[in-house]
Amino acid sequence: MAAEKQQVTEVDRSLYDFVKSEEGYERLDAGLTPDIVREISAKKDEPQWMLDLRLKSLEIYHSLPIPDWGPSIEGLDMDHIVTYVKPPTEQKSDWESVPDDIKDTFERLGIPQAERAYLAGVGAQYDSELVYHNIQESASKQGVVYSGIEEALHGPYEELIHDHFMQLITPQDHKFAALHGAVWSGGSFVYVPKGVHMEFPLQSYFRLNAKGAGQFEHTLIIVEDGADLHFIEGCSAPKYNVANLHAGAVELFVGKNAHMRYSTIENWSKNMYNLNTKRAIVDDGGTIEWVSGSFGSHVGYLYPMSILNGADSTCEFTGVTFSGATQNLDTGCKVVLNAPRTSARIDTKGISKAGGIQTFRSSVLVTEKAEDSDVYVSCANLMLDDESRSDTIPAMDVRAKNCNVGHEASIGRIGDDMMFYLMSRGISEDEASTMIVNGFANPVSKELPLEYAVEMNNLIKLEMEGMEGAIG
Amino acid sequence: MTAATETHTAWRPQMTPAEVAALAVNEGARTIMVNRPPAITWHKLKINEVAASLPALSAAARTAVEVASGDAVWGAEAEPFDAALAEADPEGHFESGMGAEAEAWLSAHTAERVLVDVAAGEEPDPVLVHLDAEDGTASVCALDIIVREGARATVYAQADAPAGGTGVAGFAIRALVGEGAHLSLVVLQTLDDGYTYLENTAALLGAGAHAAFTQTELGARRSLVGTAFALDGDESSVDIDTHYLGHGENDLDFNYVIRQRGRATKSNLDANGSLADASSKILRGTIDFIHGCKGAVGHERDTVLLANDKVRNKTMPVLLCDEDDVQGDHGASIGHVNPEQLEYLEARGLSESQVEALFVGAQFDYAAVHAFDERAAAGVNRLAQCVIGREAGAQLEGEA
Repeated sequence: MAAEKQQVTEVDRSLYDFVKSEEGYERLDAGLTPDIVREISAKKDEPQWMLDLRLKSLEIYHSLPIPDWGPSIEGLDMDHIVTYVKPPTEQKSDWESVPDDIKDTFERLGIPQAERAYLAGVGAQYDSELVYHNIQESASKQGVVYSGIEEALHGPYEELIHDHFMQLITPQDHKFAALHGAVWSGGSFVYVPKGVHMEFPLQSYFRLNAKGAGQFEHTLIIVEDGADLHFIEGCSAPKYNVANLHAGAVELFVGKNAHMRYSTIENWSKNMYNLNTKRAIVDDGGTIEWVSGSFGSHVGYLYPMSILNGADSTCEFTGVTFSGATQNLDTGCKVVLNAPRTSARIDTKGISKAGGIQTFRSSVLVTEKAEDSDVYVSCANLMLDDESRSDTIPAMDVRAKNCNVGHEASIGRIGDDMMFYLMSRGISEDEASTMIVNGFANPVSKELPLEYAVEMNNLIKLEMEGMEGAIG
Repeated sequence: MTAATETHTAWRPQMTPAEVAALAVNEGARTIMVNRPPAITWHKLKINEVAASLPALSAAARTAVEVASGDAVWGAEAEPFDAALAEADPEGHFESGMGAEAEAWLSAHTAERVLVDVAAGEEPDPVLVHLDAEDGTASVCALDIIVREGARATVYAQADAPAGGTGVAGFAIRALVGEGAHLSLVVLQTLDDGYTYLENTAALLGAGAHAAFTQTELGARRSLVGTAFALDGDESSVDIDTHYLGHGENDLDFNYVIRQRGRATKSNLDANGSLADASSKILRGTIDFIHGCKGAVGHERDTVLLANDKVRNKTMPVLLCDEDDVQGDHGASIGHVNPEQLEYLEARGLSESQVEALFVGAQFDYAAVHAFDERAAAGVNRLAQCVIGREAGAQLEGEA
């Protein structure tokens, strides 16, 4: 068995790494000023309360420090980030009306095909604006609303949005939540009425094509009592030699005895700073499930948070993070148990290779109200070479007596015995290591719809290319 | 004179060595930031370090420190250890668990320094050091331990306050364990509620060296404990066994840092404790696998029994890994008496509160069984009488 270590060469990412012309696109000036914020708001013809929220968020952004506990974001210069880029089209509800180059982008990514095959609705965002949004008639007949959030702001749901928008993720939460509040653009609004079970998932796909730009979409989902929704989020971007920024926000409200699953395959390009914020609040007997695969980005800060605010509510978080050359991905989750008999299960896998840095970070808070609750956190990290790094930084704060909090974490490499077993049966070293890594990530892929599991396994295969000789 | 007051303040970075050097720590009350782990996390969790506001105190009389038995130098200078350290640690890996600000404060308030220096290949009788805190002072014992190549040393140290009172007491422990040497270090703290306790340990191990460190923290209104082990030598190892009890409004704060640099090094951190009444505890445990420590193994675990609704426990078990050929794991188990144990004991006539008292008392019982001399046993029993109303090891009233 080869024991010599090596760094992995850049893998072929041409499936995701293609650029379209920006001719005819509208770009605001780079940087972050009140005038830019007002201009974004004016373009969207927003109500006054939204402009006020944007301007207040901008103030907060300038007052908050850059995080000093995570990966360096020195390479991110907000003075050179364009916060708004509008493609030369309005939002469409049929693919044929979408401009050819944008349509071609999403076809290459398989979005229209996915919609036809197994989705109840699709939203597609290109740079700062949604270019396509559609929901199947059967879903809309059940009263399900799936639209652009800006579109919804101008309709009968304005008050509902006003009552929920940036209430879970407030601008004071952290610097990039404040940034999001100031310059957010695009994103989806989903409303699932009481008792409605969505048979097929909804999906939003975010593509950032513009060089040196930021994407700040806002996803707001309300799942009423007894309802059920699976929402899938995907994203990608071509790679540039300058920084791009993603600072989206996802706010999920899960009603009594409702169920929601939020699945993400994150595949941003490796010049991306992904500073995304996701949060769910769950009422009595409700369930939030997060399924998260993080593969892309240069720097990532991503910790979906679940607030179990109702008795007997539950949370499951299943995640895998794959960090390769030039990547520093700081991922994990936060859970707050704030009601009796709540429970949370967290199961994460981290893989690092070729000099990549992967950090699992979590916080678990069990408040005084969470009698008879339990939490279990499991975190396993696999290092594929000795050039990489893997850290585990969990924190638990327990303030209730009758609860049980368990945490287990491990770090190691692929065992020689496993490699020997597979290679002795005629499997090449490359294939064997890919099989082992796929198996390691299986708890995540098995939670995804088949098509997405295949995509995730392909991403792992892509990342594993060129690893020959690196394991051992 | 009141006991030291404390607050959990907002984050402030540790001072630089130059700032610490210029710090007039013995002049007036001072707030020092201690127990910062190597990797920090969200500041909102208030776990990244802790502020200790220490009152203006003069150092206790030298007689607060006593070497009860064994071959040790009472009234030693720092120089012999400094010289040995310079030779053993040319790259400057030696660090303490509490950090530079605590080092400076403890140094400025040292009542007496004790040196245990065991010659190569020797195995002398155990050394017993007692620190009896003196009311209204800072009673600090600096304890330097050098275990030279192939030697074996056992050191017992107790911080106690048999006369009661208020103030700050502490140990500043520095240990060098040479190639193939073995150190067994046992520290017991049985201070009354009037005291703040600071225990700052720094140790460096050579090739094939082993350290077994047992800590028992039973008293003090506030205990700030920082422990750092540098496993520099190949195949060096450390076992840390910590027992703690929070009662009343006690506040315990631990920071462990184990740096594994040598190949095939091994570490094991096992903390067990109970929190009763309105006590609180923070435990940070970091195992740092440094690039090149191939074949290293590290385990850490914190097991906490929560025996009251008003307690608060924070645990932060960290693994830092810059090497692929290692095995590291950590775990934490935080909760109440498990249902099977509770059912078993209730079936034998104990109420839930008696079961909780049994588990809390078990920390005293354990300490009494392992007390290394009569004074240690007396300290444990005095505190047990105050906290659980019985002597350690005595049968629980009402027990079947």
